Amino acid sequence: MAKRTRMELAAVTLAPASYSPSVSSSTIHSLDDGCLTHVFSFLMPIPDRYSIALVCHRWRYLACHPRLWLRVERSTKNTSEPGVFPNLQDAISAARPGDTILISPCRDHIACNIQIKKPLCLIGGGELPDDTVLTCSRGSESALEFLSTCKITNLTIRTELGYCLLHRSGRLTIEGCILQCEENPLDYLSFPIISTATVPNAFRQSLKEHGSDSITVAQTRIEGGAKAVFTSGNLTLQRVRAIYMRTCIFFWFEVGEQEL
Amino acid sequence: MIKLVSGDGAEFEVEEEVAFQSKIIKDIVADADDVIPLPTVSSKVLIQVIEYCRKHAAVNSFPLSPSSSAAAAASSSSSISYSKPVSDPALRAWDNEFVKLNNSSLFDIVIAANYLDIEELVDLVLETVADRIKGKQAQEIRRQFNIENDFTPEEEEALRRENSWAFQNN
Repeated sequence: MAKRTRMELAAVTLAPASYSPSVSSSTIHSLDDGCLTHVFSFLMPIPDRYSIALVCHRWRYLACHPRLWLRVERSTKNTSEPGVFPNLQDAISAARPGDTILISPCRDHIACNIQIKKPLCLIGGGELPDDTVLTCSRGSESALEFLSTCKITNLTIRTELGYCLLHRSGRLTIEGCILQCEENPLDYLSFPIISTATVPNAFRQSLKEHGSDSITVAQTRIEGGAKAVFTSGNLTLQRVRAIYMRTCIFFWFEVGEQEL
Repeated sequence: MIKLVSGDGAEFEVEEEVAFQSKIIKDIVADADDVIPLPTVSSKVLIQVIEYCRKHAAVNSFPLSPSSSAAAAASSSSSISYSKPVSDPALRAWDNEFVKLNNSSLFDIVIAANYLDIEELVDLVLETVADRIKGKQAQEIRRQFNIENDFTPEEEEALRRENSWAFQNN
């Protein structure tokens, strides 16, 4: 909200010419950015914020502005600010379906058995995925467990023993991330990605129309573990592409229903 | 009494507690005289704003019960939106009637309320605008608010693709 100082107000009162006598011609473009952002803060991310982003350039800029995102920050100084949370679990609990959560660049975020049951987008706030690390300590099954359509990008997810990402259902998109399973005598039990999603045959046709369970991986480094992807349901690995760099390998692939 | 003068020269005498719903007027009156020119606000809009302030000054002069102020504090800390819900149901109903206006009248009021720094009125009107957007497709929103689509078809397609992760059916 624009707070006018007394000086500014005085300046306005000295210039009565700024008043235009034409009656009520205000349009929504007469509202300043603060007002419009305030309007958008009343709307649910899905579907309304996605609709308003398609209205025009100005609305897109404001609707997708990080000011409307939730933030995870390990340092405690900002936690009184609305929309700022000390850990990922709290941010996910508070988020509304379709929200974006920005995770501050920091190497000691904790993610142990965090279940995600609503569509969310998790973004690492660093320049590179290496800057934002979520660690799952030994004794937890997985760092993140997905029961809904979600997107994660620019993050490192590291597990001591267990799964980085446990996919149960929904469409999971992984872009520009690093998934690491630490070396361990028991690391045949570790998998960077595991999917338990099972699509019953009879429903396949109807599910096709709504988009079924799947995982899409793009430009992601996958290190350690027994194998990169393990599926216990009936999804299969397909369309695998890899780029070999000097120090690492980037993968692109999909895990979905077998194409007939 | 404080005298407010609209941009088109109309004068309105209001009680202090009514005018002081506006933080900016409260600040001005503290160190100036009691005639306040508001050159950017038309008399039509000023009448509506005064009507709102008069109603809210009358209700707010009763102290809030501790339970409702605690609830307001709790809700403001847990949610990202910065609106404070009006706790009194009768006042809430009056507010709902007050905002039954066309879009451009609402924008006039919110611009004036923002200028005069009347936080509750800004919240009320902007939430009403949000309600008029809720549940609509981009095309319907453009029609309702007279907004020109300045995306090229390619840009629009790219945007839809970018958001497609969130939607099951596209």
